[in-house]
Amino acid sequence: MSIIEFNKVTKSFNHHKVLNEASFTVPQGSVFGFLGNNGEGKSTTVRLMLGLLKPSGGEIRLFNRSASTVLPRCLNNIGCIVDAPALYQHLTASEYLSLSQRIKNIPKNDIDRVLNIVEMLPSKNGVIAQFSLGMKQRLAIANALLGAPDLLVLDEPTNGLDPQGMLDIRELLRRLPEKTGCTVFVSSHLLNEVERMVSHVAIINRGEIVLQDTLRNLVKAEGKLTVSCLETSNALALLSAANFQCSSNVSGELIVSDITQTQCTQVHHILSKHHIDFWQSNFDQLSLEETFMKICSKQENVSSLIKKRVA
Amino acid sequence: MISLFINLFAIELTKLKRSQALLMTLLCPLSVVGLQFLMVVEGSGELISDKGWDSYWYGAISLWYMLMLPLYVALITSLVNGIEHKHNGWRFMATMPIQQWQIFVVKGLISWLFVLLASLLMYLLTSASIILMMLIGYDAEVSFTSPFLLHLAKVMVAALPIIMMGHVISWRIKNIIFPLAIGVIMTIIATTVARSKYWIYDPWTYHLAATLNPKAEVNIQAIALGGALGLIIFVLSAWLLNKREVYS
Repeated sequence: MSIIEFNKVTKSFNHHKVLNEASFTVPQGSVFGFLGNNGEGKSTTVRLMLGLLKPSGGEIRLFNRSASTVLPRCLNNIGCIVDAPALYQHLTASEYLSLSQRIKNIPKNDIDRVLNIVEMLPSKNGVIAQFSLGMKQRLAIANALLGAPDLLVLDEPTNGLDPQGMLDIRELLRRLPEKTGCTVFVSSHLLNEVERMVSHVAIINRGEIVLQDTLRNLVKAEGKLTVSCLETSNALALLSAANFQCSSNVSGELIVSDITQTQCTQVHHILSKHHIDFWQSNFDQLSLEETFMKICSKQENVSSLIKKRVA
Repeated sequence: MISLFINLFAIELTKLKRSQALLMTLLCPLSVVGLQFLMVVEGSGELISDKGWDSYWYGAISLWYMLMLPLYVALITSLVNGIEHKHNGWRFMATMPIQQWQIFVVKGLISWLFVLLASLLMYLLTSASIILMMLIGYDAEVSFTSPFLLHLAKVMVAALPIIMMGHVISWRIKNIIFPLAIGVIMTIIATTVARSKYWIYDPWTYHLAATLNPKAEVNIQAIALGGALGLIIFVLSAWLLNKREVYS
């Protein structure tokens, strides 16, 4: 079952399309990473999801029902952080959390529970204005966790956190689905950070969803093969002729890029067939960051090609 | 629905903690009473020598209704909504399972109640100042059945349009200076327009026409106009603002 579903959702501001027919689904119980550079439409997507903005076209479904019918009621079951956390700086941490607790009709003792999770219980009666950036972010996360919602929507949740704080929050979010059964939607541009906690990924570029898959499939799909052989130049010529993207590095090793694991066997077969001996062959999967950069640059190339053709 | 409004009311009051709203609610009437007190002391009791404490009450009422009340309305509505502008609170509230019109209604009600509270404090402080003056030797006929309390219900209805307009302006405009400036300018204009036949076109004069005008029909007209216009602005704004997208 999908918890969030975007079907060809478009959002325009003054005829400028910020989101262009975006479609993706967030499976229940997943930690879903929504990735993109700054200004690509991540926060707009989050705002549309929560009903802060209304779509110009398409349909958004939450909990398998049309968002227009379930919002804002279903926000009772959604914990969120949108952009920089909105904190009433003159209130204490517990007073701030009591705002959500009262509106959502959550038992009062849940405030202590969530403050304990983010290790803010000792600062319960501290005024927010005197908190550090990291403490404010933790408090915003505590507010999102209040009432153990079924869906967490977090826009850049680790912003402002120190390395230990990042690690704690990452571990917390990663384990939440198995612990509580909740679904976590994380929008971020910190790819290394996201890679360590998500199970599913969607990439947004220029307002379009360019890819959606499980993290496993995405990073498994392509990689780089490094082969140590004697006749590198011959091997280069042979593999180039077979349409592989090849090069050699300073150590004289053969590098075959943009290659899948099944294609590695093909490479080995070609080399053996032409009696080129090799003594080492390593396949390195692309990291999420490398995959992201590759996808985005591919799209840039396609866009510039289209522009050139139109011109 | 009622429990939701009670909860919303409680959280809006929580947000006003340490916001100096209560301090302002005390200081505004206190400044008027203080001024009246000084006028009596400065004139060695001349102000109360003819008509006793009634003239003291009249002076306090005039100052409060003509000057301080509309300024206080601008101040409190700016404060109630300014909290959201200052702390990205609109975004926070928009992620709660409530409609925008519900927040608008509760904030409007809170502004109205603060005006009522300030007016009641005005009555209490004026009474206290009379007791104080009597204790230090200013003697006049005792009168606590002042027209102030009789007028209060009329004012709270007739002043509805300016409370609602202040509420809408400060809800929509982030810069706190703008609603405050409008309040000051309209208050000054109202002191002149209230005496003319054009008072009907200026909502900032309705509470004056409802209380200080000696003609009963003008009083009733001002109350009816104020109540009707105030409700129209309130309902229409709540409906329109409910469709608003939250960008901040």
